[in-house]
Amino acid sequence: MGGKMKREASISTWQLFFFLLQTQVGVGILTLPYEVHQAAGKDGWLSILLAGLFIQIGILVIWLLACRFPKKTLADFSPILVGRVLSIIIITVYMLFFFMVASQVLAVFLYITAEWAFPRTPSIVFAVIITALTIYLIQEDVRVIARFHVLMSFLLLGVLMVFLLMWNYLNVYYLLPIGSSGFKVILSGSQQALFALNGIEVLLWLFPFTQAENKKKWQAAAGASLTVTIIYTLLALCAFAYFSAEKLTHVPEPVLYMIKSIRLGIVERLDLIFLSLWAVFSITTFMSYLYIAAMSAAKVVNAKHHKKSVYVLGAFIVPLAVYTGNEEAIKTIGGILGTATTVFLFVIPLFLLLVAIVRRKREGTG
Amino acid sequence: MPFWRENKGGVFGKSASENAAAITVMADSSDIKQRTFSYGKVQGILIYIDTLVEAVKVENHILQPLKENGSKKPEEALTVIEYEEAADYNDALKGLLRGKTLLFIEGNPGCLLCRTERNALRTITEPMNEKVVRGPHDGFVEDLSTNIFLVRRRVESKGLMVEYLEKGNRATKLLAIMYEKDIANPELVQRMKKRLEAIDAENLYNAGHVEELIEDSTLSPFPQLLNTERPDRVAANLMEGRIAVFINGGPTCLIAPVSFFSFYQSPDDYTSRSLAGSFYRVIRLFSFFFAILLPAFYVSVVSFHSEIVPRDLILQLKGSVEQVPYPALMEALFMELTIELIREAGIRLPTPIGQTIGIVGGLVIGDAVVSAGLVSNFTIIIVALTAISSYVVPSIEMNTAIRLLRFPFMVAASLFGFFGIVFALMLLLIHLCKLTSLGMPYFSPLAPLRVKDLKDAFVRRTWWKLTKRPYDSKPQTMKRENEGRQWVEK
Repeated sequence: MGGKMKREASISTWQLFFFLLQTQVGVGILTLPYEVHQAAGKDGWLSILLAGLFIQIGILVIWLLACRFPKKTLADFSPILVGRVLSIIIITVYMLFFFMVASQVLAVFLYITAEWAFPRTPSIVFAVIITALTIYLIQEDVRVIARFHVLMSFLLLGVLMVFLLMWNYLNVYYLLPIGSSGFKVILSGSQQALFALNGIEVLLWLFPFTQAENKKKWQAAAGASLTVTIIYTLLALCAFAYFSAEKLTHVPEPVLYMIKSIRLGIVERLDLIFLSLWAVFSITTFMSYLYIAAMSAAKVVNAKHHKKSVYVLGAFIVPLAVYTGNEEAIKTIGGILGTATTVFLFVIPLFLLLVAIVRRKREGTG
Repeated sequence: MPFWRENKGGVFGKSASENAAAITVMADSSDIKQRTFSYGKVQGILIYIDTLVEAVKVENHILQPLKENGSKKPEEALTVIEYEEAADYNDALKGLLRGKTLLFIEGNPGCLLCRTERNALRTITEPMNEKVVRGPHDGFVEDLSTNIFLVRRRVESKGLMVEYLEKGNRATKLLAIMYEKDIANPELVQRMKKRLEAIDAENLYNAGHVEELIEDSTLSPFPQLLNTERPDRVAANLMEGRIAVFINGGPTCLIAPVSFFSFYQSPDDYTSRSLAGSFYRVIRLFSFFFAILLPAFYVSVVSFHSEIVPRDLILQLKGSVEQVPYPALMEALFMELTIELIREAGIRLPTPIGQTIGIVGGLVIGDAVVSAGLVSNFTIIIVALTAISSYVVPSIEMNTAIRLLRFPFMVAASLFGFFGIVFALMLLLIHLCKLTSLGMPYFSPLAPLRVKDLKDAFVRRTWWKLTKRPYDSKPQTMKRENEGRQWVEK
């Protein structure tokens, strides 16, 4: 109906910033402090910072790679670098990775919702609703999705409110002495945090759609990751300064318990409202990943539009997420995906970058 | 037997009587009059529809001058303000139907269309549904040229363009597109023309008919064209680079492209001072969320999350809710529907009775329903607040949209509590992000976010800070005024 704009849909740097931000901020808000605490004790927040640093390195690699082909997505430039067959394999594994991450996000969402708020609602109900919502959005082009992600980012103010409200409840002595756990432990904790923080691989797809200088794109990506790292670190700090180390081992969703204790007078049980905010962040993450997965799938089968692959992936993801929406499966898949993140964030982009450098492939300076 | 015979087309010959006969053959209604008169040495024939023309005009400006100046050419003798040569039968018939008088002179090939139409107009009054406290109080009427006059007199700009369009295959209706050609984006003007030109209907009934034929998404609950009966609103929108469409026979003007926030702007915001204007703007936008979310929030709190209510209030809330045997959704739905009934009845009834209905509906039912134990008194508060907030928006169509939207929200809330509201709200926002008005993003300046334009969306900043036009209509020139108040000593 509407007058179709013939121009290719493109997004601005700010939209890229918030797109990445929304992809990165996700289900981890609730559980990350617990996870890093399990791995690195009270220095878990240092693990998050360290993971943030790793992500920044990943961004640099991806950015250097993408800069060589400023008008192409990974799916378009990888055939130039490694040939058609290998490129299809790469895109396919990326597609599977994104799909699995999306499924994992949904599974965690379903698990926590069932645990915390809706014990008697069958998880398939939420899975179907969320997937339907997602399909409704991601069948559009990247511009609309970016608009939505920007809009949803206003809710981050709600997360910031938490820090302000928590101020009086914190006990800094729980954090001291800083760094006593040792570097090795902190490093192993950052492995946990990496999965929660990741989402930056999406840049390999969004890079050509962003209308800006290459440097600006790097700033947007680095800025988004930095913001996410800071938010997560602050949340972890709050949780660690609120609960003693011993208590923390018993609360898998420390952030919610912590917020539950806030007394405002107007509203009791702020955690229920925070849970709704968290639902939004989880769903936007899910949307981003499923969108990129659908884009990759469309490239693999050489389809013109990603609309059909959205429907197909949507149909597959519901049973998968419902099936894996329990504690054990989440842990197992989380472990696998955690390792896979390293591969998809560093190894493959670095490999492609080296190939590009060795074979001197470069298109335009952008 | 059709009123108008099938028109074969054709060109006028030299003989006046033959020409006149050709027209009368096609139109044989009893109010079509033919009058023969002598003009110099030859004969002249007038054809007109006497229910459409002003008899005085025909007498004074056609018959009399032609009789007195038999030697002059008819074009020189006529004293009507406007005449034109009809190209063919079709043209002549169209003119006849618009209240023009056809003039045939023996020996003169062709037919002159003289402007003699009669106008029976309602007086220019303030539109009932768009009242303002301060500012101009005139409103559109049912006549196209009067409406254009009202706007043109307000915008004395050489760039103000009016383009006429005739639509309707059986009953022709005159449409007019109006835009400021130095501001409005030509691509959008083209787009609007293309959509209007694509209309292929037997008859255009009203603005609503045209709106549905040209809007971007007909299934959306949100109006994508601003309907207004206020010339000042049209003028302001024209100066922002938007395009206005008038339809003859109705007082409603359609404006596009508009954003969601256009519906929350009232001329009052701009006549009052900035601080007050901003306050009302914020109140109005707040009312949007209030109207769609409040009942849903109530339903979800009562049926899922009563622990969210502060301790001091919970006893009263629970106490009043527990006495009602029905689930919260039923209560709320029942009361909301009652309010809708009262509203609908109030509109149809004559004004004095309408008020009685309001009192009976609002007070009597409200009180009795609580004491009968059908509905809790908290529900009454919620429903009343919702009803009031849904009528705050200064646009009837947006008001309807809001009133419709609160029902799905209530259902979602009763199913999944806060999560239901979150899902419904996300769906609504996704829809708003996807929606376009004349191809331009509807939820601008929020999505895509344009911080600069928020100053005329959420608040109304002082005029001297509104130096740039909003970007959602993609105007050719952004600058609206130089930053004023240069005289302030720093």
